[in-house]
Amino acid sequence: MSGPSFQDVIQTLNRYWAEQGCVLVQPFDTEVGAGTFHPATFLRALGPEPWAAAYVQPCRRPADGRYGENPNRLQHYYQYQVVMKPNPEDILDRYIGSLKALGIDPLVHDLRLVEDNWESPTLGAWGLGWEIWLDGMEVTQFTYFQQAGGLECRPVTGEITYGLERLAMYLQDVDNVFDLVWTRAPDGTVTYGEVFLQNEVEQSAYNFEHADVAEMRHRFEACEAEAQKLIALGLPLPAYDQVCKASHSFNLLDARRAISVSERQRMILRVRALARGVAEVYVARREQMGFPGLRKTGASHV
Amino acid sequence: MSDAAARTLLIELGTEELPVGAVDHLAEALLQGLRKALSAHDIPFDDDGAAKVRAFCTPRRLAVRIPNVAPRQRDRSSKVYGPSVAVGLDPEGKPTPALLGFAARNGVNVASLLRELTDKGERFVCAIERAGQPLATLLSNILATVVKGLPVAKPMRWSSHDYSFVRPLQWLVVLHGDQEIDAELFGIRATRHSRGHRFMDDRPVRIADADAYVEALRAAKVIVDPAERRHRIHGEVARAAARIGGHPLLGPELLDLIANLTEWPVAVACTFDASFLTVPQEALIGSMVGNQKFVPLLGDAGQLLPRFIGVANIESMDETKVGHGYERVIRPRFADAKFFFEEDLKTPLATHQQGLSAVVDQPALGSLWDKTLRVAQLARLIAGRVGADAAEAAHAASLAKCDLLTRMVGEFPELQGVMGRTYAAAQGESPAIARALDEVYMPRNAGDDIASSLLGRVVAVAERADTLAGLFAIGGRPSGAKDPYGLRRAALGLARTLIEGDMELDTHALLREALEAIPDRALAAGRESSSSAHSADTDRVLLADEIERFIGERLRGYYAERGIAQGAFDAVLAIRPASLADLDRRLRATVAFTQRPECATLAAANKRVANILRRQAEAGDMPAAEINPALLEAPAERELAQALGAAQHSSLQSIAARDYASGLSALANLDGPIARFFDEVMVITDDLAMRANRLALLAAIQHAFNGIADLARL
Repeated sequence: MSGPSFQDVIQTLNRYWAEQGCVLVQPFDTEVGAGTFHPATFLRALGPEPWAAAYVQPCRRPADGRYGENPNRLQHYYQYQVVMKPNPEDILDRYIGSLKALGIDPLVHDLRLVEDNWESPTLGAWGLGWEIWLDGMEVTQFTYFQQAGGLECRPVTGEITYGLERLAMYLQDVDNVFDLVWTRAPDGTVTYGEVFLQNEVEQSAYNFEHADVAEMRHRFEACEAEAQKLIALGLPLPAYDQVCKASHSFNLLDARRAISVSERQRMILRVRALARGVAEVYVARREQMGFPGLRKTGASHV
Repeated sequence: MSDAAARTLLIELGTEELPVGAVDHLAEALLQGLRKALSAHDIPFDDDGAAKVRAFCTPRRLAVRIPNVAPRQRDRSSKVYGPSVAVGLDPEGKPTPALLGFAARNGVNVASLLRELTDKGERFVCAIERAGQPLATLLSNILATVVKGLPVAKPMRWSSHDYSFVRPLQWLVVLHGDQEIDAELFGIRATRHSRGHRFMDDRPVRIADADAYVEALRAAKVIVDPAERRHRIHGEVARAAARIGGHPLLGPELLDLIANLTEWPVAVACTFDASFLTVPQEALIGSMVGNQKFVPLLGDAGQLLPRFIGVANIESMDETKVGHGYERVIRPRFADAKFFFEEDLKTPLATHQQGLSAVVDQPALGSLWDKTLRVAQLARLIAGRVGADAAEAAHAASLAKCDLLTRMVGEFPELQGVMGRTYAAAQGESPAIARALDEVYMPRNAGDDIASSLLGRVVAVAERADTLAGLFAIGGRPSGAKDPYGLRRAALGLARTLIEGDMELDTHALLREALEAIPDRALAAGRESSSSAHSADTDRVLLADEIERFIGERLRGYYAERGIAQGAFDAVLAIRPASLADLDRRLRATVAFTQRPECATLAAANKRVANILRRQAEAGDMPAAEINPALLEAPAERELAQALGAAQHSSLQSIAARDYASGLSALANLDGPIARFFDEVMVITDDLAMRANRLALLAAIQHAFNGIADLARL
């Protein structure tokens, strides 16, 4: 088996993006469906303050589970997320630099940027950009944020989202995610399957069979109420935790196929309203604080 | 080279990768915008079209090249006439306020005004000379205006800028011949340096002269001419196909996509595991083309071969690695398709009927199963009228939506119908039923054929009649450019199937029956949105009329595209033929009739007849109930009555046999008698009995022609 191990890929990306000036934050500790939900992306994309960060984010998409039987689908997987605000003019070159750091030679492989416009109905966010194809395989999503939480993004955040498993499968030339080499330790190789197969089996059973529908509905309502209360109190960060928790309850209900099409739409709009409320309060709070990130760059650049 | 020489102007906007769909049309719009702007600014250029006015584009650039652009605007001189000398000067010869105002408006002082003798006396004149500005001075503004006017579907902002464009601008080239022009766009200054292929030649590419653009970039591994790129893709794919065998399935749409995803296209031949060929090839092809833009290869009999061609955007240093990657990416997609297909086969199509109850698109119209039941009932009625098997038609209709719930269609929505046919055939339904499940979707678009089997046509008509009835009932009719439910396509598909399938069906009755099945609550929902106050039954009558008119409008366009004059169409539509197939036959006869020499006079005579009858009716002057031969006095009216009797007899026989051409021929013989009648006979005489009798004669003529078409409308 050739190619970097799964953890080598993460270490390489961490090193590379740290050199580009990114803050290496750690994963958000609440269940989310994508790296975009991390406050280091969603909230930091708001307002005028510059920001650059990179991190691994575990993602949970309950409906995507396949009991560990599908070689390409997981209900829990990892994204590697990079955000830079304002996006440097050469952000695409920097991204290509990261692929080179991973050992991908763009003179050998067919690298393509194919239009893909991103939208998150629950976050009230959208942007324009590409999926990046490596010999036809989508390994990254690149987005220039235009709106988040219903607010215009000024300046624009450039967001790079690597699908870590996909990328590693490509680099290691394996067809089954569970065969990925996580690390080559002195006592032998540890595979992705050894780390996560049991989790996929059990969590799929929970997501599809055992998650308590009434309880999930209750949690959704409770988190929504809590978020509304916190928004009113002017506490956007704890409010945002509740928005993510509500969103996860919704995802579980969806996996249980417990919601109709029209109810689904209504619930999405409810989460969106919360995200918008959080976004507005967050910007207002930062403004009250005098946008501290702005002062800092002002001082260093003048 | 003297500064006054006209030279080629080259403008290249270097961008990050453009959306595939935007590449060609933005380049074309940039070219048209610049041509217009140069003309508007009075900057001469060679616009002979065939010359070398060209737009170029790749995924990373939009460029235009315009030959013989002058280095500056034309000078402009003009004269503005002011007040007469009498008004402009007071008795003491001093300028009046009127003259001072005129001079001020034109930015000159009174002393520089000239006098000129005109036919309105001697007047003050201001001669304005404006020296043309250099191209270089004007270009930044021109470019900014033209770029702002480009039809960018989804503009975006980037970094800290306020500009918005289709994708971030990275570089700008503006050359006038061999001269750099100091222009600027989105904060980027123009230079003579373009950029080559993103990976194969990622250095600044110096463009020595505007005319050297194409070659300079080709040397840097970028083919800027999209036509040349398409040509190269064709050649590359053909070569690869010849090497591994097979006919490439490379239609114009796929070719455009590939051309707009590559700057330096290189074909890579690949294979896939032949065991996937058990999956219907439409699914495999859909996945290769739709998801990956790969070119499938077909054998001589049109069967999919286990090979394909990917077109890379690079001359790879190790092409086998690229091919290996392409093969890897298609494998899980095919594996999914195979899994879905095999799972679907285990479930009889009819079992999905139950699931259709849970699929609700328009709540007022019920579930998809409710729709299925309505369509099946309609199909049964229609089948009885056109000689199809009613039970088979209802059965086919009851299965027609089932494939929507299969996993295969869930994954590949464009396979609806195809999968229904495939599963039905595999699960023991008759070939006719299986075929109808696919043909119900035909015609899929304007260029598509109608269903080929009678059963397919019956179900296709029932399906569309129900769709039109239901969506018109709930207020989903199209307005302007908006037609969210595709009702225009449905109406035309319905009409084409009836006409081209030669189905003798009363459209109005069909629509009434379709509307009868639409629940009252749906009509109530439609009433709410239009605030009408009718009962549901009245609504059904009104809606049937409205949908019939709507279909008529679609047909008007359909016939117009086939070069049939509006007048002929209106003449036939006016008499409301019983079926669209009948309308079509009458229309053909009428169009043929318009080629005959008598047509013009007969059309005029029919108009005259219609006018007289209308005018007299308005005055309360009605024709007699029937023609009284005893009252026919003038020879011309006797002759006309006789000729009419004979012509009508012969015409009615032809009409009964639906031979409208012969029917019109018979009536055409009335040409002479009608002309003589109008020459010699006074219709409106004082003798009331005779007048009523003559009106009756005219009414009989009108009636005879209207048996085929209202020629007064020609």
